Amino acid sequence: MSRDKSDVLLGTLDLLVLKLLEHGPMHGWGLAVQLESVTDGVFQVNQGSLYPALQRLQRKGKVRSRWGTSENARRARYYELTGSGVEQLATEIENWARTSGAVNRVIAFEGGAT
Amino acid sequence: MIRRVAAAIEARWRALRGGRFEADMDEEIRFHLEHATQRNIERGMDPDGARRAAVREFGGFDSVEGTKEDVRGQTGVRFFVDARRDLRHAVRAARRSPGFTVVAIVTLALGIGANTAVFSAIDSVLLSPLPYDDSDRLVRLFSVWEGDPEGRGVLSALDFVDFREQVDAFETLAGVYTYEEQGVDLMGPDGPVRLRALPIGAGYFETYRATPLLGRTFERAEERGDALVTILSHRAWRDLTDSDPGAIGGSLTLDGRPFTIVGVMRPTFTDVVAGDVDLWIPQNLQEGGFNSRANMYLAAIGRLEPRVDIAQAQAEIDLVTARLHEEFPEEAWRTTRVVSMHEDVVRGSSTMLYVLLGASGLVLLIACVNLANLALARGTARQGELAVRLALGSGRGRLVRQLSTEALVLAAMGGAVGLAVASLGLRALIATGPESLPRAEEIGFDGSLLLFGLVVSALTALAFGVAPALGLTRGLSGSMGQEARGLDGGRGRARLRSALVGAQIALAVMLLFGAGVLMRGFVELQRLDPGFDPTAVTTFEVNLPETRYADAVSRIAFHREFHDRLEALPGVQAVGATQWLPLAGAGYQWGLRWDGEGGDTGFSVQVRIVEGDYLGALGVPVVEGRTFGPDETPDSEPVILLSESAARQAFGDAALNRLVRVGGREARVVGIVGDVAHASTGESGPTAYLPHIQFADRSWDLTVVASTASGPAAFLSGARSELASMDGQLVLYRPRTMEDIAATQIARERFAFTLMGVFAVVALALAAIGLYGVLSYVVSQRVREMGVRMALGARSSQILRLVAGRGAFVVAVGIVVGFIGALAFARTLASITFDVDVTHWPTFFGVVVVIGAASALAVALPARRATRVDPMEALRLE
Repeated sequence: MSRDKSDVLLGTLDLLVLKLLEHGPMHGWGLAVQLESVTDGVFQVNQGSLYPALQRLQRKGKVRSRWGTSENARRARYYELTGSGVEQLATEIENWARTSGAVNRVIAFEGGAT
Repeated sequence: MIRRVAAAIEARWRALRGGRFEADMDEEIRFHLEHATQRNIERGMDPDGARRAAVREFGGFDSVEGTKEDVRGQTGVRFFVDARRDLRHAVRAARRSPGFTVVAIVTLALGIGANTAVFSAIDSVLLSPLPYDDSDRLVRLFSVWEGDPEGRGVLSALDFVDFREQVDAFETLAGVYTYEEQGVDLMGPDGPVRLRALPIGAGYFETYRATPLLGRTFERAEERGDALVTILSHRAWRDLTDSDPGAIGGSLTLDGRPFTIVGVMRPTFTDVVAGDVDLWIPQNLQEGGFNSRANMYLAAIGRLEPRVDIAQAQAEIDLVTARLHEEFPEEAWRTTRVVSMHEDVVRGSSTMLYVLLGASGLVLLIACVNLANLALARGTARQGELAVRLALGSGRGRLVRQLSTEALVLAAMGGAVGLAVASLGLRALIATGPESLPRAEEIGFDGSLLLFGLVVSALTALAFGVAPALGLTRGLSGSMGQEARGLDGGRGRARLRSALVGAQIALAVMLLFGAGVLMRGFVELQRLDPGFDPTAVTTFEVNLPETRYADAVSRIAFHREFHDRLEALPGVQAVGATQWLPLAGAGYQWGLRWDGEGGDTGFSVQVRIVEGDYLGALGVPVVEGRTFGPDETPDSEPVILLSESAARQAFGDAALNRLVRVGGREARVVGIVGDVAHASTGESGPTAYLPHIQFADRSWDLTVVASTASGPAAFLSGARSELASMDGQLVLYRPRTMEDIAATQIARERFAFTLMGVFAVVALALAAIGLYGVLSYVVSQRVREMGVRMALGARSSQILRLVAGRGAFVVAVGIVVGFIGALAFARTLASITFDVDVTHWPTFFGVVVVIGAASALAVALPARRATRVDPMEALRLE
């Protein structure tokens, strides 16, 4: 594992997975590939960590899964958003915007009178 | 809400079809890995490399399994699903590292097994009350005299009757014939058989609160020699009457006399003092005949009145004794002591059992330390796996639970094997039998201690297996970079492990020392000169029924002829007989009186009635005067032999030709013979020998003693045919060699020493394993360092010193601490072993040598490995 890529920030994995699923049902491998290509490999998602996350989201009712046929005619488990998942995504995005906005403001902060 | 319920239901359903869930998960991850492999091949890797890279990208092999675990962790009904998965995972983990698993299980099994077995014995023998109602009120009466205030002598029947009538402290009091069962011959269809009969007075069963299954018990009116009634044990009732419910009133011919069956006891009744008895017959307690104040042969048991304690009973006994002393000043040399029956039964065993319990506790302690060490090592080795999984989002609680499950699975497996060890050990304990342990037949399995052992070891495994993992997870906070070297935490833990091994060595030193001391005691005991030579001596008993051998003349005639016939058998060197064998304990304590300077004086002696060349058969030397010869007749002057100690105690060196009174007559001392031990510990006590020919007015059950050049088997078969040709109804009973009898007497010592030896060997092995484990770990941790040193020119000998030095230090500290412990232990040991100096330097030196040798072995292997480190390999490891 190359070490110049940062691990995916803890807690953001759910957001990324939900966001990718917004474009339609996808299997775990597909999600791993998309995550890697969309982020230009900046986020080195440990692929193994996807599956517990998916299982967790499924248990919470944010996604559901069914078995389908993949592009090369293999049996694959596809995950898709549920209604609650769509709501969750909106909340997560809002949270992220708030957090990253705050972080950006800190970075932009040049110092001043205290 | 509804969604949550639905999710829960779904999860439960998933849990139910867990197999399906597993298959799905496996397929999903396989799908992933195949695609990843395919992509890597497309990027130009060879298939093998592509596959490996795919697994690596997934997070490594451990991570594949770990991920599955974590996916499982995200499913619904967590507890039960998790428990099942943890269990399966734990079993898999145990199978993955068989070395660790086997060592851990063996360690646990030995620790738990030894403890359970020993504690079960202690519980049954010492702690549990005797198996009778209100058994704390049961006592025994013993006669004592000032020369032996702790003695356990028998009483005279007449004294006993006085106590029974005049002391109010007892609810019941019963006399028992010496509490050694007697044989009676029953004529059966296949010739005579000998049964064990215990002559008892009235109140015997009442004292034990035992009621008969059929019929009744004895009455006081039946305490006479001519009351021909008997009570059968349940076993005898089954075997002799075929469990006939109408057996009461039936008749059995015992020793040629018809006895009427008046009772049958329940199968549950056993007498913890006398053990195995076939039937009971009444004991004659009437004045006259052989019952006199001087004839002491009666054992007594009693039950105190409610709320009366032993001291009160003793006070009342003392009052009666004082009156008896006034009335019979000749017998004023003795008093009577009341002793709790429980104390009497377990006497002599309690210290031994407690020492053994202590020893087995030490073994358990060593086992736990070993387990702690193993768990620590493994915890360190698994840091990598745990760190990865934590980083992947496994909850800490989840990991701890899984580790706990692994510890519990190990403890359970160890416990299961320990159970087997315990039941084997217990069987071995019981097999040593009544010779070494009282109440051996009562020993049963003690489950509560097994549970205790399990809990202790599970806690140990938990504490040392989980804690490092916890500490690790706390420090990591998701970063995995550091774990690969893991040296920081490693050093403190290595020190802890060394300390644990030092503790093990110390405990092993204590146990080895204990075993050494007991072994020396045992060897000394065997080397002890009992005053006679047991080699090539064979014994058996013959009982002459009083119906057919009613008078002294017929009994003398029988024994004379039987003696001559035995003497004529091929290979027989000397043959004689006695009523009481050496090493059989004290028995037949009679008063020896004479007219001293201040009038009548005397003390009590062990009396042996002898026939033929008894002393010659045992090789007992005649020191002065002569032994009995053909000149003795029933009507010649009564003669007596004294043992050296009796002669010296009574008359200094002028014993020969003195007149003494014993057994109701006056006899002349014609010879002085060597002292013969009546106990395995060499106690001989003053002894007097009387010729059977002059004392045959009583019917003695004589035991024949013969020294032979041919083996015991040839002699016994010759003796059997001689006996049959003389009297076809007599039984050659209890044939034994004198060496067997001697071995039985030291069975308890042999037992203690053997068990202690086993514990010591186990402790030594465990300590060596621990030492080996720690040093191996140190070496493997420092392979790189060794490599660098070698690359920089260090010699093998220097590396060797580095590793061995560390081991030697741990061992040295352990030995010093263990020695201090052993000194503390020695005092307790002194009380259970035969008279040896417990702080014995050669023993300690031997222990150090043994520990040193085992340690050297444990150090040598890892040290050699360290010198074999290839610098290039070592550096490449990073």
